[in-house]
Amino acid sequence: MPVESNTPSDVPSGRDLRIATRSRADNWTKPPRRIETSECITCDSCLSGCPEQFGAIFDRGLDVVIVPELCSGCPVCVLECPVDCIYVDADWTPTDDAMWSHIALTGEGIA
Amino acid sequence: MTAPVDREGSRRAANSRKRQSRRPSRLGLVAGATPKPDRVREEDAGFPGLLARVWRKASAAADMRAALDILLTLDGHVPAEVQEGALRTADAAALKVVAGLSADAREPAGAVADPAERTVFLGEIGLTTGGRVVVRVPSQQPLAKQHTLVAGVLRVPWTSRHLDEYRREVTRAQERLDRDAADSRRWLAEQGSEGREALLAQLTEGAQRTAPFMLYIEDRQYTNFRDTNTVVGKTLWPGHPDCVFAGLAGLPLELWSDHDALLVVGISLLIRSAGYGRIEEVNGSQLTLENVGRLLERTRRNYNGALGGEKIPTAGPDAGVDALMALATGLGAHRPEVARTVQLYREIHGALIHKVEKVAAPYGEVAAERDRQVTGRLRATLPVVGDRLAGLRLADDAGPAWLARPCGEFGTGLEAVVYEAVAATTAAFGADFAMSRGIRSLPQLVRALRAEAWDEISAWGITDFFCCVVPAQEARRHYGDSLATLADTAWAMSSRMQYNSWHFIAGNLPRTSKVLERDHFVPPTIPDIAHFSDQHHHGHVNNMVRFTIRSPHSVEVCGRPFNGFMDLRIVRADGEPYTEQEMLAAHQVAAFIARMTQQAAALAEQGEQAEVTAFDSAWHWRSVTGTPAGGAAPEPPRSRVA
Repeated sequence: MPVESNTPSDVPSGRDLRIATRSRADNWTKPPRRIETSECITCDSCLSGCPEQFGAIFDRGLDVVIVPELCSGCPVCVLECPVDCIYVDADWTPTDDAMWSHIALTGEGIA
Repeated sequence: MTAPVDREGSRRAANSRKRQSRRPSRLGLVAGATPKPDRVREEDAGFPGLLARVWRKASAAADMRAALDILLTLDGHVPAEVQEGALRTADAAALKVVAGLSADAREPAGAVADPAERTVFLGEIGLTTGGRVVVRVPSQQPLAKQHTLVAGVLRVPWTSRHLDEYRREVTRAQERLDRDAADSRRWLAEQGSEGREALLAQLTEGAQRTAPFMLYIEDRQYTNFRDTNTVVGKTLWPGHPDCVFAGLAGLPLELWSDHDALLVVGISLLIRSAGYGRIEEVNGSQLTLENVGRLLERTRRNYNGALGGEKIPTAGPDAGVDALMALATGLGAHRPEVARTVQLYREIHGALIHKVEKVAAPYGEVAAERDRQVTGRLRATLPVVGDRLAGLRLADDAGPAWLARPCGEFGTGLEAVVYEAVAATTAAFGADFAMSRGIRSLPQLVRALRAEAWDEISAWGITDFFCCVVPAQEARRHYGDSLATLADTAWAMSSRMQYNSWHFIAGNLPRTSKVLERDHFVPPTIPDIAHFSDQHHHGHVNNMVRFTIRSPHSVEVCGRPFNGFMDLRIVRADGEPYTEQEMLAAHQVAAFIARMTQQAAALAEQGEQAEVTAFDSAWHWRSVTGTPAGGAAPEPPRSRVA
């Protein structure tokens, strides 16, 4: 069974499974990250930078949001953010149904 | 091209720099390692807070008409006619008879009824969380069951006379709407299935390539803005099943709703009259043929006034689709000539993201005074000659090559031009911030253009662009009296403007598949003045971007015009909105920077290294706080409002 880690290059294509189960990978040890809307400038740099195998960042209305169940906690988005507004989200809350419905369309073979 | 800082070193060094926070007050710290934000957004920040205040004030108004005026203007934040245009057919009819409100000047509104008359129906007026005024009319459920309201409702007594008048009004209005829907269907049928598919493709591109819109047809909202999205944009990608345009593609016309038909015809009319930018002129309003016709007629009068004669014929009252299409086509055809003849600009009402195209008056004394102030400073700090901004040019003994040579603390003369012009603008316009953006490396752009490397240009990142932001020192009063917060705010603005340059540049390139895939907007070509922009966009709300002027200019590089290549922006966090005269003067400051950029582009085409390497995070820290970057902060960042 493939092993997932927090390193982007080591992660197999388990995103569809995470979407189907609406849960984070068991072997992700780092907490997800979150974008602080009071500091975000909506430049989408994080979204563009988020590795494809995670695909954890979405535009949602006025917000740019990280879906915690899809975020491994890797630092790629942090490195792209010009204003340093992405924080560790140890106390994350589950993503709502409407967002999952939107996310499901981005799964393999759908989008 | 990679960011200039990256060009100076290895990939490893670039990545090492990326690991460092770029927020000015956190320079020297690891990015993403700060445990908590410097501030947390308040729940009612921006628009929700405004609506709550508006509702409280309306609820306390002396009478229903006074309350309605507060609601329709969102207490002075938008022109009443925008909200009047957002009323549903039945609501508009109701307010005409119970409040004497009429958007149609040809039909004088009735008087408010005598309150002594017996009440036969108790109606309601409410304000939705989207900012729209809604009315409970006879036979409808209570508003709270129909909409998400800001708070409660205002009760409106109806008399028998109201009911009689309402019946006549609503019947007439509904007949007009039905007639327009049928006419729209007839026109769409004439386009054939291929024509309709082409229209939907055009509407999809229009929604993707312009600022968000928020339109209504009766109760249905079409938006790619803050509420639940129903139109392609940043949230819904092309082909997303929630997008109304994607949903219509391939459907036979018989299965389109009347709303769909009105939507497609209405937006098509707007695009035909001025390109995608016209769509935003209906933001916050009903997209009925009546409203679109009113907008086109107002525009026709403006254009004919500018051109001196009836060059564009009217569509006539109650015009149908064919006549409106002819009018829209005429407006679109004459708009370039109008733009060459007069200064067109847009007035933006940020609360409802509503825009109005206007014709500016001639350059007057207020503009001339701002002009003199900026010109005086530029002549004192740069090797330029000229009495007014329009004629300001490099002195003969400097020559264009000066733009590519080091100048004082700046790497190139072009950097000095940008900084001095922005700093002079901050001072002359009583601004809290002024800023100007552009591309960092003209030589790299020249190389890429000569190689026709469109995909490469599309792949450049936001750090390949710069924005110089110069705040007034007094602006710190808005930001907890903290220079550190002021520097962070200036950098946040700079970063966002880098994004804007990135976002516009692809709109000037040939439409290769990579260019089309790349997120971009059609670049702006006319200036604008914005009122109360601090309502929606998080960056605007949190950084208090309330009153602004934006002046974009085109620059030609290797024979290719780049619209929106640079711009000048001016921001006030409070006080008074900027005026048309101030916009005209700002437009001349921007034109001066654009001329210098144009000369620098010519130098780059000749092989000179005309680049901009300043205006990074550390530069903004030093220039705002007067202390070295990465050292101890003069004081910690604080919350925004003192």
